[in-house]
Amino acid sequence: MMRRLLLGLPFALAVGLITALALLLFKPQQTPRAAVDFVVTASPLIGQPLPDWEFAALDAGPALRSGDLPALARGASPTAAPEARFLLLNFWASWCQPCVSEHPLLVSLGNAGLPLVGVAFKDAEADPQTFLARLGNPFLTVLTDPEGQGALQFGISGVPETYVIDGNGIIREHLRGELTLETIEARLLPLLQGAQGE
Amino acid sequence: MRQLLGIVLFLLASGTAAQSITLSAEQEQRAYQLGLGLACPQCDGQTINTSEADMARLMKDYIRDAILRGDSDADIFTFFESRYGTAVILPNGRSGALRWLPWLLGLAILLAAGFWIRAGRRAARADLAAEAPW
Repeated sequence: MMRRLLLGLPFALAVGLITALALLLFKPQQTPRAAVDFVVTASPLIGQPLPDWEFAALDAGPALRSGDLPALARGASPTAAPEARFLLLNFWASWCQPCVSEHPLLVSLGNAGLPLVGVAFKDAEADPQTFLARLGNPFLTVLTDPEGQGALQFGISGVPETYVIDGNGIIREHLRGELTLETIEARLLPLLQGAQGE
Repeated sequence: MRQLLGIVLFLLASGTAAQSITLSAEQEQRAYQLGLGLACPQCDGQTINTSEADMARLMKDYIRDAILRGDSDADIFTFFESRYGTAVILPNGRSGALRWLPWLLGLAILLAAGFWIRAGRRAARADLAAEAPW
Protein backbone atom coordinates (compact mmCIF):
# COMPACT_ATOMS: atom_id res chain seq x y z
CA MET A 1 0.00 0.00 0.00
CA MET A 2 2.78 2.37 1.04
CA ARG A 3 4.75 1.42 -2.04
CA ARG A 4 1.78 2.20 -4.29
CA LEU A 5 1.50 5.61 -2.72
CA LEU A 6 5.22 6.28 -3.25
CA LEU A 7 5.04 5.18 -6.87
CA GLY A 8 2.08 7.43 -7.43
CA LEU A 9 3.87 10.45 -5.99
CA PRO A 10 5.84 11.53 -9.11
CA PHE A 11 2.63 11.30 -11.08
CA ALA A 12 0.74 13.33 -8.54
CA LEU A 13 3.56 15.88 -8.70
CA ALA A 14 3.41 16.00 -12.48
CA VAL A 15 -0.36 16.40 -12.50
CA GLY A 16 -0.12 19.03 -9.79
CA LEU A 17 2.47 20.99 -11.74
CA ILE A 18 0.46 20.79 -14.96
CA THR A 19 -2.59 22.09 -13.12
CA ALA A 20 -0.58 24.85 -11.46
CA LEU A 21 0.95 25.90 -14.76
CA ALA A 22 -2.44 25.92 -16.47
CA LEU A 23 -3.94 28.00 -13.67
CA LEU A 24 -1.01 30.41 -13.67
CA LEU A 25 -1.15 30.86 -17.42
CA PHE A 26 -4.85 31.54 -17.45
CA LYS A 27 -4.98 33.81 -14.44
CA PRO A 28 -6.19 37.20 -15.76
CA GLN A 29 -3.20 39.27 -14.68
CA GLN A 30 -0.71 36.75 -16.01
CA THR A 31 -2.39 35.82 -19.26
CA PRO A 32 0.14 36.19 -22.05
CA ARG A 33 -0.85 39.34 -23.93
CA ALA A 34 -3.40 38.44 -26.57
CA ALA A 35 -2.42 39.05 -30.14
CA VAL A 36 -3.10 42.72 -30.62
CA ASP A 37 -5.00 43.58 -33.74
CA PHE A 38 -3.51 46.95 -34.59
CA VAL A 39 -6.10 47.53 -37.26
CA VAL A 40 -8.73 48.11 -34.60
CA THR A 41 -6.75 49.58 -31.70
CA ALA A 42 -7.20 53.31 -31.23
CA SER A 43 -4.40 55.35 -32.72
CA PRO A 44 -2.75 57.83 -30.35
CA LEU A 45 -2.16 60.14 -33.31
CA ILE A 46 -5.78 61.14 -33.85
CA GLY A 47 -6.17 64.71 -32.71
CA GLN A 48 -2.41 65.21 -32.68
CA PRO A 49 -0.30 67.39 -34.98
CA LEU A 50 1.50 65.69 -37.85
CA PRO A 51 4.82 64.10 -36.88
CA ASP A 52 7.64 66.11 -38.39
CA TRP A 53 9.38 64.40 -41.28
CA GLU A 54 10.84 65.33 -44.63
CA PHE A 55 9.97 63.02 -47.50
CA ALA A 56 11.85 62.95 -50.79
CA ALA A 57 9.72 63.18 -53.91
CA LEU A 58 9.49 60.16 -56.18
CA ASP A 59 10.32 61.95 -59.43
CA ALA A 60 13.34 63.89 -58.16
CA GLY A 61 10.96 66.77 -57.50
CA PRO A 62 11.19 68.97 -54.42
CA ALA A 63 11.17 67.23 -51.04
CA LEU A 64 8.10 67.78 -48.90
CA ARG A 65 8.09 68.37 -45.16
CA SER A 66 5.01 67.28 -43.15
CA GLY A 67 4.54 70.94 -42.30
CA ASP A 68 3.85 71.63 -45.99
CA LEU A 69 0.83 69.31 -46.06
CA PRO A 70 -1.76 71.56 -44.33
CA ALA A 71 -1.33 74.16 -47.07
CA LEU A 72 -2.15 71.46 -49.62
CA ALA A 73 -5.24 70.58 -47.59
CA ARG A 74 -6.42 74.19 -47.61
CA GLY A 75 -5.64 74.18 -51.31
CA ALA A 76 -8.13 75.94 -53.54
CA SER A 77 -10.19 77.38 -50.68
CA PRO A 78 -7.77 79.43 -48.60
CA THR A 79 -10.61 81.40 -47.02
CA ALA A 80 -12.50 78.37 -45.72
CA ALA A 81 -11.99 77.29 -42.11
CA PRO A 82 -8.79 75.22 -41.99
CA GLU A 83 -10.33 72.52 -39.79
CA ALA A 84 -12.90 71.92 -42.51
CA ARG A 85 -10.35 71.27 -45.22
CA PHE A 86 -8.99 67.75 -45.54
CA LEU A 87 -6.21 65.91 -47.29
CA LEU A 88 -5.55 62.19 -47.46
CA LEU A 89 -1.98 61.03 -46.86
CA ASN A 90 -1.75 57.50 -48.19
CA PHE A 91 1.17 55.14 -47.53
CA TRP A 92 1.27 52.36 -50.12
CA ALA A 93 3.66 50.12 -52.05
CA SER A 94 3.62 48.52 -55.48
CA TRP A 95 4.31 45.11 -53.90
CA CYS A 96 1.24 45.29 -51.66
CA GLN A 97 -1.93 43.56 -52.83
CA PRO A 98 -4.42 45.43 -50.60
CA CYS A 99 -2.87 48.64 -52.00
CA VAL A 100 -3.88 47.49 -55.48
CA SER A 101 -7.38 46.70 -54.19
CA GLU A 102 -7.95 50.06 -52.56
CA HIS A 103 -6.39 52.18 -55.31
CA PRO A 104 -9.58 52.65 -57.39
CA LEU A 105 -11.23 54.14 -54.27
CA LEU A 106 -8.38 56.62 -53.96
CA VAL A 107 -8.77 57.53 -57.64
CA SER A 108 -12.50 58.09 -57.09
CA LEU A 109 -11.85 60.29 -54.07
CA GLY A 110 -9.33 62.27 -56.08
CA ASN A 111 -11.81 62.74 -58.89
CA ALA A 112 -14.37 63.93 -56.35
CA GLY A 113 -12.03 66.77 -55.42
CA LEU A 114 -10.35 65.46 -52.27
CA PRO A 115 -6.63 66.33 -52.20
CA LEU A 116 -4.39 63.28 -51.87
CA VAL A 117 -0.68 62.80 -51.30
CA GLY A 118 0.91 59.37 -51.69
CA VAL A 119 4.04 57.97 -50.04
CA ALA A 120 5.70 54.95 -51.65
CA PHE A 121 6.86 52.82 -48.73
CA LYS A 122 10.02 50.70 -49.10
CA ASP A 123 9.57 50.61 -52.85
CA ALA A 124 12.13 50.69 -55.64
CA GLU A 125 12.16 53.79 -57.84
CA ALA A 126 10.53 52.40 -60.95
CA ASP A 127 7.85 50.18 -59.45
CA PRO A 128 5.58 52.85 -57.92
CA GLN A 129 5.66 54.73 -61.22
CA THR A 130 4.61 51.62 -63.11
CA PHE A 131 1.86 51.03 -60.55
CA LEU A 132 0.48 54.55 -60.98
CA ALA A 133 0.74 54.44 -64.75
CA ARG A 134 -1.33 51.24 -64.73
CA LEU A 135 -3.88 52.06 -62.05
CA GLY A 136 -4.13 55.83 -62.19
CA ASN A 137 -2.49 58.61 -60.20
CA PRO A 138 -4.80 60.47 -57.82
CA PHE A 139 -1.95 62.12 -55.93
CA LEU A 140 -1.11 65.83 -55.98
CA THR A 141 2.44 64.75 -55.34
CA VAL A 142 4.07 61.37 -54.89
CA LEU A 143 6.60 61.07 -52.11
CA THR A 144 8.93 58.24 -51.26
CA ASP A 145 10.04 56.55 -48.04
CA PRO A 146 12.61 54.01 -49.25
CA GLU A 147 13.86 52.93 -45.81
CA GLY A 148 10.52 53.32 -44.07
CA GLN A 149 11.81 55.66 -41.38
CA GLY A 150 9.17 58.27 -42.16
CA ALA A 151 6.52 55.60 -41.81
CA LEU A 152 7.82 54.73 -38.34
CA GLN A 153 7.44 58.39 -37.32
CA PHE A 154 3.83 58.15 -38.44
CA GLY A 155 3.16 54.99 -36.45
CA ILE A 156 2.58 52.89 -39.53
CA SER A 157 1.75 49.27 -38.80
CA GLY A 158 1.95 48.16 -42.42
CA VAL A 159 0.74 49.22 -45.83
CA PRO A 160 -1.69 50.47 -46.91
CA GLU A 161 -2.31 53.06 -44.24
CA THR A 162 -4.10 56.39 -44.66
CA TYR A 163 -4.18 59.60 -42.63
CA VAL A 164 -6.85 62.26 -42.88
CA ILE A 165 -5.16 65.60 -42.21
CA ASP A 166 -6.85 68.95 -41.86
CA GLY A 167 -5.77 72.47 -42.80
CA ASN A 168 -4.33 72.99 -39.30
CA GLY A 169 -1.98 70.05 -39.65
CA ILE A 170 -3.95 67.90 -37.20
CA ILE A 171 -4.42 64.20 -37.88
CA ARG A 172 -8.19 63.76 -37.79
CA GLU A 173 -8.27 60.10 -38.71
CA HIS A 174 -5.77 57.24 -38.88
CA LEU A 175 -7.05 54.42 -41.05
CA ARG A 176 -5.06 51.23 -40.88
CA GLY A 177 -5.34 48.62 -43.59
CA GLU A 178 -7.14 48.67 -46.88
CA LEU A 179 -9.59 51.50 -47.50
CA THR A 180 -13.08 50.20 -48.13
CA LEU A 181 -16.43 51.81 -48.76
CA GLU A 182 -17.38 50.83 -45.21
CA THR A 183 -14.33 52.60 -43.74
CA ILE A 184 -14.95 55.67 -45.85
CA GLU A 185 -18.59 55.76 -44.80
CA ALA A 186 -17.85 55.21 -41.12
CA ARG A 187 -14.78 57.40 -40.69
CA LEU A 188 -14.24 59.82 -43.55
CA LEU A 189 -17.82 60.78 -44.33
CA PRO A 190 -18.58 62.14 -40.83
CA LEU A 191 -15.58 64.47 -41.14
CA LEU A 192 -16.69 65.71 -44.55
CA GLN A 193 -20.30 66.10 -43.42
CA GLY A 194 -19.21 67.97 -40.32
CA ALA A 195 -17.18 70.27 -42.51
CA GLN A 196 -20.11 71.00 -44.80
CA GLY A 197 -21.77 73.15 -42.20
CA GLU A 198 -18.77 75.55 -42.23
CA MET B 1 23.68 30.83 -21.27
CA ARG B 2 20.05 31.67 -21.88
CA GLN B 3 20.93 35.36 -22.14
CA LEU B 4 23.68 34.62 -24.63
CA LEU B 5 21.37 32.49 -26.73
CA GLY B 6 18.79 35.22 -26.65
CA ILE B 7 21.27 37.83 -27.79
CA VAL B 8 22.54 35.63 -30.61
CA LEU B 9 18.99 35.00 -31.80
CA PHE B 10 18.28 38.70 -31.55
CA LEU B 11 21.35 39.54 -33.64
CA LEU B 12 20.38 36.99 -36.26
CA ALA B 13 16.88 38.41 -36.39
CA SER B 14 18.26 41.93 -36.66
CA GLY B 15 19.96 40.97 -39.91
CA THR B 16 21.31 44.01 -41.72
CA ALA B 17 20.66 46.21 -38.70
CA ALA B 18 23.33 44.33 -36.77
CA GLN B 19 25.82 44.76 -39.60
CA SER B 20 25.34 48.46 -40.14
CA ILE B 21 25.08 49.70 -36.56
CA THR B 22 27.67 48.35 -34.11
CA LEU B 23 26.84 48.40 -30.44
CA SER B 24 28.85 47.31 -27.44
CA ALA B 25 27.87 44.06 -25.72
CA GLU B 26 26.14 46.02 -23.00
CA GLN B 27 24.24 48.10 -25.56
CA GLU B 28 23.22 44.94 -27.42
CA GLN B 29 21.87 43.53 -24.19
CA ARG B 30 19.94 46.73 -23.61
CA ALA B 31 18.53 46.68 -27.15
CA TYR B 32 17.51 43.06 -26.63
CA GLN B 33 15.75 43.82 -23.36
CA LEU B 34 13.91 46.77 -24.92
CA GLY B 35 12.87 44.58 -27.82
CA LEU B 36 11.28 42.12 -25.39
CA GLY B 37 9.02 44.93 -24.29
CA LEU B 38 7.70 45.99 -27.69
CA ALA B 39 5.08 44.30 -29.83
CA CYS B 40 5.51 44.07 -33.56
CA PRO B 41 2.49 45.97 -34.93
CA GLN B 42 2.10 43.80 -37.97
CA CYS B 43 2.59 40.33 -36.45
CA ASP B 44 0.33 38.40 -34.12
CA GLY B 45 1.56 39.13 -30.64
CA GLN B 46 5.27 38.65 -31.40
CA THR B 47 7.87 40.88 -29.87
CA ILE B 48 10.00 42.82 -32.34
CA ASN B 49 12.96 40.64 -31.34
CA THR B 50 11.56 37.52 -32.95
CA SER B 51 10.02 39.12 -36.03
CA GLU B 52 11.54 39.80 -39.42
CA ALA B 53 8.62 41.96 -40.54
CA ASP B 54 9.31 45.42 -42.00
CA MET B 55 8.00 47.35 -39.02
CA ALA B 56 9.82 45.13 -36.50
CA ARG B 57 13.10 45.75 -38.32
CA LEU B 58 12.45 49.48 -38.44
CA MET B 59 11.70 49.51 -34.74
CA LYS B 60 14.85 47.53 -33.93
CA ASP B 61 16.91 49.95 -36.05
CA TYR B 62 15.31 52.86 -34.25
CA ILE B 63 16.20 51.36 -30.87
CA ARG B 64 19.84 50.90 -31.89
CA ASP B 65 20.08 54.48 -33.19
CA ALA B 66 18.40 55.75 -30.04
CA ILE B 67 20.82 53.86 -27.80
CA LEU B 68 23.78 55.26 -29.73
CA ARG B 69 22.58 58.85 -29.42
CA GLY B 70 22.00 58.42 -25.70
CA ASP B 71 18.21 58.16 -25.38
CA SER B 72 16.96 56.60 -22.15
CA ASP B 73 14.71 53.53 -22.05
CA ALA B 74 11.85 55.82 -21.09
CA ASP B 75 12.53 58.04 -24.12
CA ILE B 76 12.39 55.03 -26.40
CA PHE B 77 9.16 53.64 -24.93
CA THR B 78 7.60 57.11 -25.03
CA PHE B 79 8.41 57.42 -28.72
CA PHE B 80 6.72 54.15 -29.61
CA GLU B 81 3.78 54.73 -27.31
CA SER B 82 3.16 58.16 -28.87
CA ARG B 83 3.05 56.60 -32.33
CA TYR B 84 1.42 53.23 -31.67
CA GLY B 85 -0.41 53.58 -28.37
CA THR B 86 -0.09 51.56 -25.17
CA ALA B 87 -0.90 48.37 -27.08
CA VAL B 88 2.67 48.30 -28.42
CA ILE B 89 4.22 48.16 -24.94
CA LEU B 90 4.51 44.61 -23.58
CA PRO B 91 5.18 43.39 -20.05
CA ASN B 92 8.94 42.83 -20.18
CA GLY B 93 9.70 39.13 -20.28
CA ARG B 94 8.07 36.59 -18.02
CA SER B 95 7.74 36.68 -14.27
CA GLY B 96 10.29 34.67 -12.29
CA ALA B 97 7.92 31.90 -11.18
CA LEU B 98 6.74 31.06 -14.67
CA ARG B 99 10.27 30.86 -15.96
CA TRP B 100 11.31 27.77 -14.00
CA LEU B 101 7.92 26.07 -13.95
CA PRO B 102 8.10 24.44 -17.39
CA TRP B 103 11.57 23.05 -16.61
CA LEU B 104 10.44 21.62 -13.29
CA LEU B 105 7.41 20.14 -14.97
CA GLY B 106 9.56 18.44 -17.57
CA LEU B 107 11.79 17.01 -14.87
CA ALA B 108 8.80 15.77 -12.91
CA ILE B 109 7.40 14.01 -15.95
CA LEU B 110 10.73 12.34 -16.61
CA LEU B 111 10.95 11.21 -12.99
CA ALA B 112 7.40 9.91 -13.12
CA ALA B 113 8.13 8.00 -16.30
CA GLY B 114 11.27 6.53 -14.74
CA PHE B 115 9.43 5.38 -11.66
CA TRP B 116 6.61 3.94 -13.73
CA ILE B 117 8.97 1.92 -15.88
CA ARG B 118 10.80 0.68 -12.81
CA ALA B 119 7.56 -0.23 -11.09
CA GLY B 120 6.41 -2.05 -14.19
CA ARG B 121 9.62 -4.07 -14.37
CA ARG B 122 9.47 -4.93 -10.68
CA ALA B 123 5.85 -6.02 -11.02
CA ALA B 124 6.69 -8.14 -14.05
CA ARG B 125 9.61 -9.76 -12.20
CA ALA B 126 7.41 -10.32 -9.17
CA ASP B 127 4.77 -12.00 -11.33
CA LEU B 128 7.36 -14.21 -12.98
CA ALA B 129 8.83 -15.12 -9.63
CA ALA B 130 5.36 -16.04 -8.33
CA GLU B 131 4.69 -18.26 -11.36
CA ALA B 132 8.06 -20.01 -11.42
CA PRO B 133 7.99 -23.27 -9.61
CA TRP B 134 11.63 -23.03 -8.46
